[in-house]
Amino acid sequence: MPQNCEECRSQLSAYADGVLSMDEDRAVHAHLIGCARCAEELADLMAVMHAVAALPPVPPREDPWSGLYFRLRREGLVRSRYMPRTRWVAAALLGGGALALSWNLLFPPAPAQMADLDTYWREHASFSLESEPVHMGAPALHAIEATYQLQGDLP
Amino acid sequence: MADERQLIERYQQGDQAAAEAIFRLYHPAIHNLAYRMLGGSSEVEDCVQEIFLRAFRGLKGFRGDASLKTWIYRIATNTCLNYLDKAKRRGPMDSLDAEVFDEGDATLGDTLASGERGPEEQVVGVELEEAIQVALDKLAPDFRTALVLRDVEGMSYEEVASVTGAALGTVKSRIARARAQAVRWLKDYLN
Repeated sequence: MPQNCEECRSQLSAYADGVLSMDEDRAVHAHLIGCARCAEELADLMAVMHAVAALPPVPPREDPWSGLYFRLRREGLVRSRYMPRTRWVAAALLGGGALALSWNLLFPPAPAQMADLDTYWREHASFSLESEPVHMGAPALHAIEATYQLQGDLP
Repeated sequence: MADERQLIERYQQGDQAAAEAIFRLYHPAIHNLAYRMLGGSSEVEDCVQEIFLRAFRGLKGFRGDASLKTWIYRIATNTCLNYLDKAKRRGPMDSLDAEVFDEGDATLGDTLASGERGPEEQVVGVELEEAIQVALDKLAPDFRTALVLRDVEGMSYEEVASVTGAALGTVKSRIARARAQAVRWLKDYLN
């Protein structure tokens, strides 16, 4: 159906975007061929559309991530990017303990230190070596005794 | 987008690296949108931060019903419209009063409104960009939103409808009317 100028102009924007139905598109196209004023309207419209689309992107003057991150952290929306101090302290204590334990296993006490231990236990233990071991100190004393027997200097 | 979904899930578990990745993905476009919507006013940076803060708050409960892009743009346009509303109540925004020409006291806003320009005042390059921005600033907020989303951000009509929450017919009408007004204001600059 032939269009008048008003109908055509109301559809120029959609025509320029290519979103009209096939019939509508054909009708506008047919009108534009025979109407210089509407064709000029379309040219102006497309010039503005291209100028707006060609606007350069505006780079931000500053990077707001740091400030935003701080606010997100404060609201509990994200976790810290660093390990909290308490976790560092706990990790250091565990690491130190493990190191001390492995040091004792790799380098056991010297015989002289063992003798000191022997004296200590003889003075403080509430049982004799002849008796059956009855509390937690006994296995250690028997171990010392066995060591001395191997060395042949048991008192 | 699978990567985007993973980023969202990681963010929802509190991963700050995922939050930063989402921010870096959308910050340039959202900044550009805010700049064009607010006419390059001094409030753009504050508005952008507000947009992302709102987005990250809401993202905790995001279920993926809409695409992340549509969802963030919806927050962005609503936040920009709030800023425009506040600015309107305070008075004209600073960019409308920006002096474009070296000579005289007339601002580009005045010049566009009066239509009095000699051939020596033809605006090209950077000045054309400023003229377009002034024209955008003069559009009603709903028209400006539709035009910026369609012609600056390059969204489809359907995406604009999804972001603005308007019907497709309304979007078509707003874009057509916004363009018609922009043509009236900018025609002489382009010839």
